[in-house]
Amino acid sequence: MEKNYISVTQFNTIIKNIFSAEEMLHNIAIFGEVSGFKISGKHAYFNLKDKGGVLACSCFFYSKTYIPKEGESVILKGSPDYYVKGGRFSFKVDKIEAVGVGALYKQIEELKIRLTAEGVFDESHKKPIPKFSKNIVVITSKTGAVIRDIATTVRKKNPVINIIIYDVKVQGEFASKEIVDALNNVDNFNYDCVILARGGGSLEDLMPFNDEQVVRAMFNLKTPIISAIGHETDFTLCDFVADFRAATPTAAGDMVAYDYYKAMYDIFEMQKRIRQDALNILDNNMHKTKYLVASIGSGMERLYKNNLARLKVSDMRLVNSMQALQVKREHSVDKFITSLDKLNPTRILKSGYFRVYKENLPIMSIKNIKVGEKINVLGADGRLLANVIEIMEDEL
Amino acid sequence: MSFEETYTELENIVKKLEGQKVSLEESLHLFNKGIELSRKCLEFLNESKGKILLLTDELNNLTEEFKVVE
Repeated sequence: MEKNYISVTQFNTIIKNIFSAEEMLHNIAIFGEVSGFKISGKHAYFNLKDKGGVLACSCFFYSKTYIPKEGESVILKGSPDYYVKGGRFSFKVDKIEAVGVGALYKQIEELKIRLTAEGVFDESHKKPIPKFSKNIVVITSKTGAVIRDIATTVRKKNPVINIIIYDVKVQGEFASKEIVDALNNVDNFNYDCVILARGGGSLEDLMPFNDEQVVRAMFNLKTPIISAIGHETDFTLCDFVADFRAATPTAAGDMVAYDYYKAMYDIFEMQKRIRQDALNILDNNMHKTKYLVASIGSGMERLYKNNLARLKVSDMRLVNSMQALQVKREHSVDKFITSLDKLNPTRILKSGYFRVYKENLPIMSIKNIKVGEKINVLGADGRLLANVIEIMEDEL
Repeated sequence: MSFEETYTELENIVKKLEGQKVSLEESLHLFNKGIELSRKCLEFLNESKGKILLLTDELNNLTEEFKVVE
């Protein structure tokens, strides 16, 4: 068979060579929107499209370039490539460049990396938000709904906090300078807390809050600062440097204001507790004192009773001993009288003895008397004359 | 002279009388002295009793007042 054909490989190689040879197409820049961005290993594959067409793209070692979001507009730099094995055409991407919002993100990201490295966002720099603020200053636009939201939230909880409004432009080319000036200014007034606030907006609108000078002014602020920029999903660099990031201006108002009514109630409760504690202590001491008073009273009474008892004993002894002395004396006088009495001759006669006389002379022996003689006998109550009839001598 | 001093003197007199080695005149003298000392001691005690009652009353009143303040 005549050889009037070429192989697939040959054909694909020719195609590839055509693309390679066309230098006009080398290092070309193409603008479009990213679609279907897929990562496979170290490489990424996606389509770049606009209203009229789609271009298949492959990016080897994607990590060395910007990674776009789905639907993001980018500028690709690279060259067309034809894959011989697969027979597929793709645009080989060397570099992806962000444009518009993408470019802004990139700019923010770079600044964030740089400031992070400097330590501007370090937790160690963050100051605590005072629990009981008296004067707060809100840096925001006085015309927005933001200030009304904050004031309403604060007033719901607290009727006494002073809210100072520092009016600034919150978007546009002068906003960042005004915000920086405001930040530098408010630090001189001993406010308890600063709120930097803005309502929601596009990324471009929020750009003043990603400004390096604004971030640095916030970092250098001595007063604690709360950031409340945009909606809950919006993050700006101000949020990273702030001492506290409130998701919304309302949340910032809630954060900065202490609950006045609860605080009043707590203080009242504490006063009551302190009063009760003091009364309890007083009561305890009073009981102790009363007990001591009673002890002193009963102690004194005991002492009195003891002394009285001692005195009674002494009195008794005094009287007793005196009486004993008297009795003793009386006794000895009696004894003496008795002794004297014993010597009284009439006393002997009274006991039945008789005394015998002869011719008025007392007879002491029978030998002095003879039978027939007359004798006088003396008794206690009289005398008698007797004749002696018989005399008998007794052995005594 | 304090209560204790008076009382000690009374005790000494009692001891002397209880020793029973005193003359009639001396014993009478001691007895009279003893009665006098005993009366003095009793006066002391009655006076102190009055004071004790007064003070404890005062203290009680004070603690009662204290309670009223509460």
